[in-house]
Amino acid sequence: MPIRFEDRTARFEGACTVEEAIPLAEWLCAVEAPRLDLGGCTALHTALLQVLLADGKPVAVPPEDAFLKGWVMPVLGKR
Amino acid sequence: MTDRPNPQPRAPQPRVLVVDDAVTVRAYTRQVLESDGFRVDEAVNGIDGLEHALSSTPDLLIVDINMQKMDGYTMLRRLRQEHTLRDVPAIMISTESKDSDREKALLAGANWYFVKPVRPADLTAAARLLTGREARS
Amino acid sequence: MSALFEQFVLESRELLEAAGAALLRLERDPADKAAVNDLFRALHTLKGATGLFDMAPFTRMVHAGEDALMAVRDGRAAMTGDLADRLLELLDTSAAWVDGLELSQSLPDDADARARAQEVGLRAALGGPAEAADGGTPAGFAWVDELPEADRAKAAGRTVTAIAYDPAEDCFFAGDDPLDLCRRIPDLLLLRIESAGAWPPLTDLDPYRCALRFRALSGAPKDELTRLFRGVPDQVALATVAIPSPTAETAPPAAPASLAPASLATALLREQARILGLPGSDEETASRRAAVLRAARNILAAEGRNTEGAALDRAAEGPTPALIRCLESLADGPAAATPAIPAGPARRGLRVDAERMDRLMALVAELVVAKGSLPYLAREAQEGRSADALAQGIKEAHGRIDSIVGDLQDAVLRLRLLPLSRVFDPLPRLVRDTARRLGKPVELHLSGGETEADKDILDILGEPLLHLVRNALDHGVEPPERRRAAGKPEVAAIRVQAFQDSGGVVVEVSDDGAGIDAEAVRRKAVAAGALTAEQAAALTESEALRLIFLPGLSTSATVSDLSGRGVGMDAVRGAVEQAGGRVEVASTPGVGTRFRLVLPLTMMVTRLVTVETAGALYGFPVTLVTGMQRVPHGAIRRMKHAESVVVQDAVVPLLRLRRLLNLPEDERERRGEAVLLVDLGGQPVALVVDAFRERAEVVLKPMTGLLARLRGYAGTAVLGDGRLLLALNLRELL
Repeated sequence: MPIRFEDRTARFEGACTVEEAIPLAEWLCAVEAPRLDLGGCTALHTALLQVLLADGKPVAVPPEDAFLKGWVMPVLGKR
Repeated sequence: MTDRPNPQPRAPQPRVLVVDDAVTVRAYTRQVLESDGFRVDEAVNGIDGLEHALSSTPDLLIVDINMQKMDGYTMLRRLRQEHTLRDVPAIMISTESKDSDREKALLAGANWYFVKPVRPADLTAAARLLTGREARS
Repeated sequence: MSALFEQFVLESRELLEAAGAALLRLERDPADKAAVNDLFRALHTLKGATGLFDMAPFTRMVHAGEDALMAVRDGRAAMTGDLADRLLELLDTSAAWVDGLELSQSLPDDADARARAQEVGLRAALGGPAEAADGGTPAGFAWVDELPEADRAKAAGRTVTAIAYDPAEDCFFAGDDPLDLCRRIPDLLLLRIESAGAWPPLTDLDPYRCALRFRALSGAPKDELTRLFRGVPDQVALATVAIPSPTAETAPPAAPASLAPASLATALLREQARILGLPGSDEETASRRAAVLRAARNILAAEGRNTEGAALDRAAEGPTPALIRCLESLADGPAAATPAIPAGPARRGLRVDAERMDRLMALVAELVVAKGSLPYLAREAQEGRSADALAQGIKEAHGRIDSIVGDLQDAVLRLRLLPLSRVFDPLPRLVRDTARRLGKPVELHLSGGETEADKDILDILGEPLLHLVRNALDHGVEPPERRRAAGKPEVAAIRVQAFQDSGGVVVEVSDDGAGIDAEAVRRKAVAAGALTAEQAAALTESEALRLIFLPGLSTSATVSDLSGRGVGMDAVRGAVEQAGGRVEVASTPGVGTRFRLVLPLTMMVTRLVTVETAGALYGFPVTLVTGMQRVPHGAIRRMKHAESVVVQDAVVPLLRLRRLLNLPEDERERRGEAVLLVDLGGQPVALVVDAFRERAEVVLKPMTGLLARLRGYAGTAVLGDGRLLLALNLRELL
């Protein structure tokens, strides 16, 4: 399971796929002050990016993946 | 500008033939390549280029397209018919950036196409790769 | 100047000359195919040469000319007089830029605008839409032009592929992952992820409906990207665009951001694979295969991947599709490239003498000390010192600061001073070439090149100086036979000397030629209708000589190719006068001619509000003018001789400029008066003028000679269109 939902933290690991979009959105709606850890994320499906953008919560741990860090994080930071 | 004896027989410098009718462009290309350790020979049009290539068999050709007397396409096509020159790597350089120009260059026998002006680092990097010189030396 | 740059200047001049000659042929015979070709080739080569030096406006402008000629060559457009004029203009601008590049190694500040204007003009002359983008940005890609500088930085100065990817809403169901596709864009230089609209609350979001769109720039060729996006051709638009460099400044061909060698190797190997798939005869494909194999082996060797060469050799024995696959996998082999760090934009530099810098620093230090007295005064004021003592203290502080500021101003102006040798440098070559062409042996004597003048003055001086020297060669110096016959040395002498005069710079251009025939000038002026025969006869010799500065009059009957083309002595005079200087001419028949340019040391630009009164133009410093109004007659009150008007609840004395200047009263029928509101150091004054005119930035020239004793005039200035303006000193007039 590439996204592990632990208590208040969602931990993204490896290639996170489209199937996780609904669980992620539900989790974000349900948890108060959720913490996003993208440190181990190597690929993020567009659908997941949309959920993160619509939610607008800050990312606690940015991804180490160069593409995500260079091109996707700046947009996530803006919201 | 023809053959000169090679002063360093142990580390042969690859020889590049630059074919362009603009003297500034030739001077520029020569300067860039010589400062990176290549030996440079110049020709001023396609016919001149063919003659130089036949007599000296360079390691790499850098050919302009739009030239008087014989253009770069024609020159490359002729050159590819010569047994000794058919596999010499060739770079075509032109100011045209359209895909169709690139395609025409490759069809004529080029291995690579650069749009003018070429950054010196790109030119030397491509020349090193196509002549088999190690990237750092 | 680097040898390469010198080479460029030389070659450009030759090319421009060749282009000019071809254009003249073309003007004579618009159907001359060879002339079109020669002109095209000259411009094409020039474009290539400018491209080496990162002078984008120059390249763009020449490119536009090349495009126009291509249209003519292909029969898409006709060679009209208008088009010829445009091309000629382009050549002239190019020549001027090359001259400027030789002097300062930079294009003029307005180069970008001028290039654009030329492009528009050429397009109009071709009958195309004048507002279309400059051959650069295709429709639908305006966003590329609108990108912030920082986003374009990585792509600056490169020709790249722009990608507009608007995924279909239901694309996730087709298995697409747009973000992942973007990740696979080779040589990604920019990626912007944008939402199609505002985000709904998370609870209302349909995560399976794609609401994002992507804009990207890639250094990879367009066809490579077409392949990448082949699954979604209806959702993506690609275009090859040239991203201009951030500044139009000329920079040496240094190494800006380049492809990392690893990514170049990848691209080269991919291209080799592609070449193998190209159509052609058996012979062609066989030779391509040979060239591809050798290139690929070399690339692997250069990369130190000799072991992988074995795989290549094996594949080379098999059929072409296997070899293509092998090359593709080799291309994917090395690690992905890291984006190069973009170089910062080039800065405009002015070389500054260390001594001058030191003086500036010393003055700033003095200013800091002088400033220190102000808090002290403030404390005194708070503690209730007497007003007199305070006023005294403030006056002293003001006096100190005023003197330092004056010195500072002077020191800053001196920073901009450059030696005149900058405009002298092109002269020897010009004289040598021209003399050779005309068959007139000439020796050029230069002196005073170390004399300094403001950078702006030098800029203005360059053209007139070239013109005067060309003129001296062309019209002044006689052919050797005539010199021999007159008993003069065969080798003529042209002297250019500069020196500093009281507060100004003087440049003299003299020759030992035939001199100017004042009588011939008179005749020509009469023939041109500039004055009557009686008026001409009444002129003194030196007054008659000055007639050559009138537009359309030249010192020689024939307009040669050297000095021709309408830039005459009137242009020389115009340029010099606009800089606040003047031109003098002295000539003795048979002995020679001397032109003298007297220029101010610096150009002090003054902003004026101009008004018209009794048919003449007058100016007032903008800083003094507080308003302009139309006042109905009824609003003007009269008390004996004094008039006044109410402005913003205050009674302001009203004066009439005509009366102040002892001019006849204004007899025109009119409903009200044009009134300028002026503040004379706390004293508002309303001034009646005939009409308001535009604001102007001028170089004021002090009144000289008899006029210098007149009170009320601050100086004269020549406006951009050649009209003369008198700047008034109101305080003195009242």
